[in-house]
Amino acid sequence: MLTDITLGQYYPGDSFLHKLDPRTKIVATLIFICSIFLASTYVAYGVLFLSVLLAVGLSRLPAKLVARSVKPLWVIVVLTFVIHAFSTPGAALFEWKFISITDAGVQQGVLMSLRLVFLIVVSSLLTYTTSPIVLTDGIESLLNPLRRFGVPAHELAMMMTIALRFIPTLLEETDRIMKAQVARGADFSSGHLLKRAKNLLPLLVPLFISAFRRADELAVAMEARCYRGGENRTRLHQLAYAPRDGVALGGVLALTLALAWMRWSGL
Amino acid sequence: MDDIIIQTKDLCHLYPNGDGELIRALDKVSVTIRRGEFVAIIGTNGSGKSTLAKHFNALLLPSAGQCLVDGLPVSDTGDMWAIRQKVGMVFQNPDNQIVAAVVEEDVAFGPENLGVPPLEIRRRVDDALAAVDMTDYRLHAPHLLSGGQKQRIAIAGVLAIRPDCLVLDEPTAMLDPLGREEVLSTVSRLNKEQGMTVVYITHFMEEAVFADRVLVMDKGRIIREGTPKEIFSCVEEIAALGLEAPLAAEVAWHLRNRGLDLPADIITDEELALALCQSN
Ligand SMILES: Nc1ncnc2c1ncn2[C@@H]1O[C@H](COP(=O)(O)OP(=O)(O)OP(=O)(O)O)[C@@H](O)[C@H]1O
Ligand SMILES: [Mg+2]
Repeated sequence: MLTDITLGQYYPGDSFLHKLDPRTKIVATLIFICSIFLASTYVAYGVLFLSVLLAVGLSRLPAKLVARSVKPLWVIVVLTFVIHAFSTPGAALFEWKFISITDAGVQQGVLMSLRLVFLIVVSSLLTYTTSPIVLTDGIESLLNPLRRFGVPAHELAMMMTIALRFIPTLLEETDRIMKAQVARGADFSSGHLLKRAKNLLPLLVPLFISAFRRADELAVAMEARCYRGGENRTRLHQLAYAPRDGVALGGVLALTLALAWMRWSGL
Repeated sequence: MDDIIIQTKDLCHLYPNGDGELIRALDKVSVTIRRGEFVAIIGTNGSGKSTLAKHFNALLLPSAGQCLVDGLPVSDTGDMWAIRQKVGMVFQNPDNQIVAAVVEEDVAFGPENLGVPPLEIRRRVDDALAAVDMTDYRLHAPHLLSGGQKQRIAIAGVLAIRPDCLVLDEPTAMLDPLGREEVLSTVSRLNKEQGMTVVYITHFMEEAVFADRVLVMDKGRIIREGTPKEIFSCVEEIAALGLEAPLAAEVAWHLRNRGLDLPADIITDEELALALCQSN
């Protein structure tokens, strides 16, 4: 359903990954993604593969769900493989006119697509195990030190919070306007692209007007509830690190160091 | 003086309209709201009810005259946050005043803004949700609640700030009859049990009947003031203002005109029923 959007991809649970602090998960995911690009040998890929498996295991998510995360991006994965297979110089495996597939190309293609798959799986583990609301808190807290350099950490987080709150409301409204227009003979589903885009106009105009009115009223309501920006604000739920956060970060750092060592030593 | 929570003296408010002219939305309004009172404000569209209410917590500032909240003038911008803490506002559209995607986080929004420590926020959120009878919905998403429930969450969000006075601007205008009943009974319970001062703006005369005192506004002025019985028993006068008296009062008035011997101060259905039974 449309209204499921506030949960995003979140899959509730209480695994090791679910219980980690969101800040740990965000940082660890970023480090993990960087370390993916350090891998260049088969051994290194083996280590990476095992680490990803371990992470999936620690999340206790159904394997099907994790596999599904790759699905929307399979075109890119296949494209990556094809481009590498055709464009890498080496001994030809197959030749037809000016097209040739090389052994080095196939090898490169497989490794590159694997990288992509790892990347997708690891980042979706983050969104599967963290609700968008908690994720927002984590991002705000991580960006907070950068406020001194003009990064609007609190404002960004507030925007995300309000977006999470209002996306379902606006979707409902879209649905309602759409039905009202269809009842008056509007047609949103036929005709060529340009015509369809044009048909959307009677939908978008009222939607925008209502969104601006909502924004206006919300701003007044927030002011009435003493909102005055992020200064001196406290939170109901405070983020707190636990020993497991140290373990997780240590693990990811160890993996990165191991991969870096393998790269420079050529293992 | 101490039992007065809000007082306006010759309060005027002018809005600039598009052509550089000024619209006089409030014209020398003087009202006094005492602690623990339940005051209803009624009046036709555009009579200035919302404009008046917005002065009570410094969302609008007087163009002329004075508005004092607990002795503090709203025009003194230094006291703005103290005033907003004393007077909480609930608005008409329940959707457009809920900020967070989880009920309890929304209720926590006010105290968070005030820098209240987390443990104390927790206590306030629990108290506020209990006060509006929404504790079971603490972890729900607001957009899945009914209108009446959303409006109760909005009230809880204001209660968590621990105000002295609750100002509600047509809180039931967008609700179904069931939701209206939920909100009104919540508000009058807060007034009776916790002594919360309530200023309740409404278009529904049946709701105004529950107030201790009714203010009638027209064209930016307070034109009548009195108990619900005093106001609504003059059915013709109410009708002349473009308002509709509560159904019971109107029926009683018609019956009286037809020669039935009924008391002149009937305004609720129960009173009407009782009087009709007795007149037999
Ligand atoms: N922001 C504004 N700018 C200009 N004029 C305004 C503004 N807000 C209100 N007014 C005008 O001020 C007058 C009083 O408006 P107000 O909203 O206080 O009335 P109200 O009694 O709350 O009406 P309703 O029952 O429709 O809510 C109206 O004539 C209105 O057109
Ligand atoms: Mg109004």
